[in-house]
Amino acid sequence: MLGRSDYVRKITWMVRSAPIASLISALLLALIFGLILVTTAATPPAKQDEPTTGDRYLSPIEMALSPDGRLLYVVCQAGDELRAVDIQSGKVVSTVPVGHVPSGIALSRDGRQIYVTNAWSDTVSVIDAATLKVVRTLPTGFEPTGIVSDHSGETLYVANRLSSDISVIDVNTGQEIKRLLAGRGASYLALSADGKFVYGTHIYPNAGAFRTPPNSEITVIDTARQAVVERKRLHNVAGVFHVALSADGKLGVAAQLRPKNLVPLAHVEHGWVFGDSLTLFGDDVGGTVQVPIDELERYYALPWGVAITPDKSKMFVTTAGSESVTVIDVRKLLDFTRNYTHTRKQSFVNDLSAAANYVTARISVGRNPRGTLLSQDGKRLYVANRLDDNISVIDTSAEKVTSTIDLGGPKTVNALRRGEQLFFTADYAFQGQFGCANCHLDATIDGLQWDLEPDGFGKDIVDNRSLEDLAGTEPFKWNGGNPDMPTECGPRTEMYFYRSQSYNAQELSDLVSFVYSLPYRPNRYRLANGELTPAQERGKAIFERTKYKNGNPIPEKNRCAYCHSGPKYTNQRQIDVGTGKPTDRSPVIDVPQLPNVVYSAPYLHDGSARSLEEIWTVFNAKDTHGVSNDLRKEELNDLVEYLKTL
Amino acid sequence: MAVGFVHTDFGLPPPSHSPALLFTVAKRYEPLAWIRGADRFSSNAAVFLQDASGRHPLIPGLAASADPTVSFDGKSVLFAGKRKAQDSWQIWEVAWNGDLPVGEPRRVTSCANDCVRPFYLPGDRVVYAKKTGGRFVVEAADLAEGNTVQLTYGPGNFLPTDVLRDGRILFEATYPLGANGTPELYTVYSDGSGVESYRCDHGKARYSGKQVVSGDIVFTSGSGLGRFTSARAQEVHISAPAGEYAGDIAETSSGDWLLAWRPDARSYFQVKRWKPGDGSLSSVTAEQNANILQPTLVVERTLPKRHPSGLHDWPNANLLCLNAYTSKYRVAAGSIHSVRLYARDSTGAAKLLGTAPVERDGSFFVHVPTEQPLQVELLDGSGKTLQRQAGWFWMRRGEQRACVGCHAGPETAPENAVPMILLMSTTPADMTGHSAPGGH
Repeated sequence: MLGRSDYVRKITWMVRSAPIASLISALLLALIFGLILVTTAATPPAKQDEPTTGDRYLSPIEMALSPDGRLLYVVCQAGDELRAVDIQSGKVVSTVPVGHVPSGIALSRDGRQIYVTNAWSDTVSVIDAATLKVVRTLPTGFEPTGIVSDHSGETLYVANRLSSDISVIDVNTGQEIKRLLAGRGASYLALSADGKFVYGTHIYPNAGAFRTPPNSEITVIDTARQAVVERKRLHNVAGVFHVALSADGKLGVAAQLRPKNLVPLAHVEHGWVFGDSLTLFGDDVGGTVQVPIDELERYYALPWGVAITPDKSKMFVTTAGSESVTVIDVRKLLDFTRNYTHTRKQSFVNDLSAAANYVTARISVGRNPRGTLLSQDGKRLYVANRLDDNISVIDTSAEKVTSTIDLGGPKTVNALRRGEQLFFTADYAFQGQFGCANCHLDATIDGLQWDLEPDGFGKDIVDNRSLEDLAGTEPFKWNGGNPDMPTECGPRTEMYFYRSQSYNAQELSDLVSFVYSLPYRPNRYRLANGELTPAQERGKAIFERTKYKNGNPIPEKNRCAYCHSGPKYTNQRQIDVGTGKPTDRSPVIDVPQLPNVVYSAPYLHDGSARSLEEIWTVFNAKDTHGVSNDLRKEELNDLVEYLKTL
Repeated sequence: MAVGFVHTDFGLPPPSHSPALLFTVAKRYEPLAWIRGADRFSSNAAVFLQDASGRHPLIPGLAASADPTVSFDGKSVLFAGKRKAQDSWQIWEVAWNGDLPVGEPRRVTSCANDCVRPFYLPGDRVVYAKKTGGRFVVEAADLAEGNTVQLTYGPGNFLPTDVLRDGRILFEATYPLGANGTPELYTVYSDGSGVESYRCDHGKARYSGKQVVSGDIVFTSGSGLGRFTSARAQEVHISAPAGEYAGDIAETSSGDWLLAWRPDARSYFQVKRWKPGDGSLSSVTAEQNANILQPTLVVERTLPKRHPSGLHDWPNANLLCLNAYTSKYRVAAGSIHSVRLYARDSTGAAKLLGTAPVERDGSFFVHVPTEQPLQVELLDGSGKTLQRQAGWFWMRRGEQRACVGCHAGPETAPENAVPMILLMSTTPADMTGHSAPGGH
């Protein structure tokens, strides 16, 4: 998702907003990061085809059209800018710098205002469409992503991925007037045609009991009341992306993943690892219906963007891992859905032959296609090819790409970009079923626990770990079994995940370089001045304490700061802290790093602790994982507050 | 053998741009003779080369040759051949210089009996059928080292028909697998694991399948042509001109098919060119008194993915069924109580390996012997058979396999739930007769 250049920009951002002490810390961190990267990353790529100094990849991700249809506004995530494209000429006519890692876009109903969410700045840039200048910046929750403007033009709804909520913002005052609880990883929003409802999706599953099917939701907000009025439950779904509504308001669709994390990953065929699918909702189907888009031997990985033509004849789905757009005949889809449900009284979401009844075409587009947008007349479909820095223009009648708009990014593809392309494609897994980005959504986590095959069925259940700033956290794997990243991503992935020939040496090097380049996301729990709150200070003292409350010394190896030491809060060793489970082959666990631990729930090697608190309240009965049983509830809260700052 | 071609219209682009065409000429052709372990071709079959300069035996001086296939880079050709009439069939390889074979052919196999029907595998390996004990088994060999691995372990005969781009080997055997029945198409990984039927709409005889550029599998279905597409769980009928088709089609760069066709069972097969969807065939080559079969273009083609074997270094294997109720058979909900596994004794009779519980959700987990025929039987609470597998399957040494159900069909993806049997124990029920189930 974000490369080393983004990391540098992040440091710059930190420098701008921090006092001298923090500035020095940031520079030191950057220096340490650089040194570690130099010493630990894979062999540098042989090809010397770096882009020209100063050039940055753009990574177009979302789009909007001006009301007159003349301009296409493209959010360029890695470029930290909005580019305006003249539709007639296919040329970029304006570039608007916005905040860090822009991720979503909406227009006011009159088209005079353009709103862009800045995920790493926690803001919305308000752009005057006439001058194409940022005129205001509005605060949001953590990592704002999707955004819509209501019909009145007075209210914005913003999905905040890291705070898992939806900000309701008064446009006139620029103030957030409400914060609505949404699903975990709230990310995408759509407004119904009549403006009465906002529909929200989220990319991580909601917290649930250990080893139970993941559940997600479509959060429905009544715009009149600015309140959540319904949560449509999506059973066995983890990873919901764009949502769209038909013009008549009777059909909604959300793109989603159905992971198979609870069955042993013995192989890949027959949709054994992921089901790429959609959830339909609305009066046309009644309730919710999940429908697959895969085939028996071909998979359409990571369905992401969705669009329904104004006449509701067709539906388009970008598949971010498969470099294609799936075209669905809506009438056939609805007929099949009604007939199947009526006659068989069961779901067909696991039937890989079902899509043949409603999918009419698969259109090849560029790498990592994400956001998709229909022209107002429905004749053209625009697809943002995030890792090609261009836009595919599709004739919706002919179902063919008619042109490609070059957004003007670097013409060379460097090792990090190649690695990023490898990370996001599903081409390497058997029959193209999944890629790295299936489990590491946008290069983060998926919030799931998996039963991998090599250790035996039902054994060694593993939680998905964060990939942020991994240098200096080796070895990898829950038990430290993989000494380095090439081992982690190379033969192991080929043999036990992809089950198909995967990366050559150059590709592996590129991929590892990219993974090592992934930076920390900004931590929102640290004060701007670098100091700690009183609660965080108290928590720090608990984290670093060497004595029990009764004054007796805590054995060194049972202190938090013994294992969680060093710049990444890991001593990089493997230790039995009593958190092993009967199904684990060994109780010895690799000490995980702690920076940004707040964002990576659930916890413990197998994901059995749903929250930081549960690590000690549920899984530390004998004080083997640090000493916590002499702490009061308030003190444990303080410890957690401190951990959030790491 | 004497060859008297009657037609010279190659049906391809101008000769200077045409890839060479190989085919097998045989007086007698019995496409399903392999089912009883017999030769498909008459003893003097020969592979011929047709190019811009005419037609020639691919390798003059051989007593017999058949089954030509081309390497993925188009630089070598494999075929089955006999130096002398009394020899057994062996696999041979000859280099190709772009227009013609060069140098002496190299014998790849040293089979005590026949080895036929070769194909290249990625990773400098080949796969072919080897006759052993009067039956054809599928075997893979490393071209450099000569190391071999047997891939099929059921009763009956097995013959590879293509290597798919996803790395699996397409082969033909009878349905039910390993029992007397109708020829059907199956797949197996190149380490012998994961054997399964390509589709479960069993019916007509299906054989001589080949994958075309679209990824579809085209094969002889009855006496016509059928197709498996990725999207459908059932065979798709191909409306081709009337007549009989011998499968083993070749696809030209323009998407036309070269196929062996004859108007009726009394005639010889000849090679025709067909644009799928057209109402007629055009002639490519024919022979007055012999069949012309197995058209093969000497062209570079997509290199399939190599299968990275994940077999463990264990003597036995583990089999997990997620839900035995997920089945094309109709089994009453809640009726399955236990599962039996059978092997075969030296006489071919079923030999009980053991019985294991089936959990309420239909899951069971067993530790089984490997590289021999296995058969599953579902029982109710009184020990009565609810359903018994009609054919046989096998597992490779160190294989861990999981199934959605019992004969669920390849179109059925698993439901995401922890199988109850794994909540009871992660140690499989031992069906091997040994005391240390789990395999590791």
